Amino acid sequence: MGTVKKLIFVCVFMFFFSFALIPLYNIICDVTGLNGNTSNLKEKVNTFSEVVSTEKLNIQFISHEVNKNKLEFKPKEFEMTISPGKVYSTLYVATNKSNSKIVGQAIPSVSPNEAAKYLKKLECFCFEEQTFKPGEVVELPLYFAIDEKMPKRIKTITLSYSFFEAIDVSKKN
Amino acid sequence: MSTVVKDTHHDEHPSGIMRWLTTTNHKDIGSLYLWFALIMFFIGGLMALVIRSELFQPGLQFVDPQFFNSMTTMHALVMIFGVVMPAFTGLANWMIPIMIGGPDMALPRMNNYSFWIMPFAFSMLLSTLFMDGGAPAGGWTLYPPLSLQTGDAFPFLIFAIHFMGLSSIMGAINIVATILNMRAPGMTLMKMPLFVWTWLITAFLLIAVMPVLAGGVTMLLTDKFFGTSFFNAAGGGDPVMFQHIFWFFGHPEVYILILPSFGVVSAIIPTFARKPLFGYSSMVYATASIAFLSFIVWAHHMFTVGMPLAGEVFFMLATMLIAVPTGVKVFNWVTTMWRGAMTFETPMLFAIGFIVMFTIGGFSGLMLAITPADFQYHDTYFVVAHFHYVLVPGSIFAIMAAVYFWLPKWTGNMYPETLGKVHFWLSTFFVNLTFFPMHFVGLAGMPRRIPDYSLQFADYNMIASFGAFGFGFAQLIFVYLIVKTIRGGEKATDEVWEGAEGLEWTLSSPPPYHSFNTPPVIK
Repeated sequence: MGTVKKLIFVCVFMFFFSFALIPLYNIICDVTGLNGNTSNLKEKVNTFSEVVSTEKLNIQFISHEVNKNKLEFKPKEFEMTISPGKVYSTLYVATNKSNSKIVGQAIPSVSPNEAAKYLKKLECFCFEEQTFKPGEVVELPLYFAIDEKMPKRIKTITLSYSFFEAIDVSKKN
Repeated sequence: MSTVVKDTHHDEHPSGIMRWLTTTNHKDIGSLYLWFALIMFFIGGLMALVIRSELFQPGLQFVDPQFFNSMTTMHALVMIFGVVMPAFTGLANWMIPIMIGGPDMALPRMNNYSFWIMPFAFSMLLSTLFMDGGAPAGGWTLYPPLSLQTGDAFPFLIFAIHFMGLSSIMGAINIVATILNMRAPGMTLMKMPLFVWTWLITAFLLIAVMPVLAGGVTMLLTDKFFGTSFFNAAGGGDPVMFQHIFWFFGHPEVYILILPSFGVVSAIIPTFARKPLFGYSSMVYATASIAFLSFIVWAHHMFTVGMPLAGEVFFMLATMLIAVPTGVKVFNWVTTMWRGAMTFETPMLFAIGFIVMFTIGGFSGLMLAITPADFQYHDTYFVVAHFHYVLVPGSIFAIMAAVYFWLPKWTGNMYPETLGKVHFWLSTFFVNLTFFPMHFVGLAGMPRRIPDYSLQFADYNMIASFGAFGFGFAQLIFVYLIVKTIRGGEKATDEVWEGAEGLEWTLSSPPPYHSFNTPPVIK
């Protein structure tokens, strides 16, 4: 019967739609700018003007160590006072305390969410996968600037990095 | 209304257990669904009483916290998927064919399958109570990463949900096919009883969102066992994404749980007010608007996850918009009663109780819709009070109203009226005693899903626990009354109720095993 076939088609369509929701959310958030996530991509330098604002604000750096005994991962400076429009640099330090190679990537997060789209990263260790040899201590550079279009009411930004090991599917479970 | 051809020579069916295992008769399957729901109602109720026993006093008394959390999780899963949904499907099976003048459901064999999947799904779900690591305890919403920490029970939980979903989808397809194809000549869409209309819309909701739930829990399953990272931040996924997918299913789901009650109440109020339903077509459009709006409000369940302001404002306003069609319905019911020649038999009492107490739940829902206020209410007992008001004196009362209303038709016997009224008043008293104090402790900050609480919440929790036990025991009257009515009693007339309108009342009480083999004539 026609009705039943159509209804079964709707069911199958909605099942796959639930998987499609994942890319769809990201697309909708990008298009509408409703995105609270900070970008993991390199920004072009010319996207913001060279006018340096006289405003001052604080940026705090924190890190989440998912497995402290294996990898120590800390910012070199915990706080900086900066002006929007100017490029700054800082370092994170990673120490591989284990006896094996660690491969993984740092995932950034910005608080408040609203500030995320104004934090421009020119160069960041989070753009690509990192490999740490056993016992190695690595300094990871970060170059960033705050877009001067950011609302004035935001006085403090917190940038947090969590370092996640790349999942080895064959080893899981 | 019409002449009914009583066709009794097809009544032969296998006897004993085989009758029920192999039946394709819509009335038999309707009864099976209703019995199943009643049994699960007591299992889920027992879980609620474990919760209320533990919360009777502050401190940990009876169960360990892990088991307490299992009880809240399982209570919700059982009550939603095992009680309210099967009970409504049972009513649909019994009533829709005879309300639209069709001989049976459109797909009788599939109807049999969709019922018999349910006992397997729930055996699987309930068996997790005896597994290593305990039953699922992360809440019925299954948020990762917590739900991924479930022990051996996890795959059983996921497959039980798949089976429940399959059963609901098959039931829904059957109901849509029946309504669209099996109506008697002259039964146009806008002549259908509202119960049929609300079920048609509910069935579309089911078909649209149950596969989304199936997809979401499948992703949980592959995240746990096959190394995918849909919701795993370490692999680039996002745990909040699950909440979006879950509530994209979950919000239409709450209307799946309430829309058929609107249909039941719209059948009962005109009967006992002895007036036609006020604003029939506005009721149809209001139901359809509620169903449409249910797809664009899901994120009001997750205001506190850190959404952009624009998102919070949109979901707040869209949610409040639902109050408009819902208000249309409530006012239509009240207007139907206005200057009617009302009598207050048990189904009418339950229906009026539904309107009053469902509206209380609706108002607390409006309070929760206000984003800034929701930051205070979120995950407190205020939310528990809200959804229990719309589900217990809402959906459950409507199901009970429907049972009292149609039981004489189904069995051919009148139920004992006084006992029915006693059941109503005890239920109403105790349901309020249980859930009203939860508003106060919730506003004062008592969090949900935690087995212990601060001393200042003690008195109201004790009251709520008394109420819960009272409500639970009052339901034994309901079982007694159903069994007694099936066994015998004062014979019901074909019309049963003085003001009853509709094709079901043109059949004998009880109706023949096969009815409307010849389509009735619709005026």
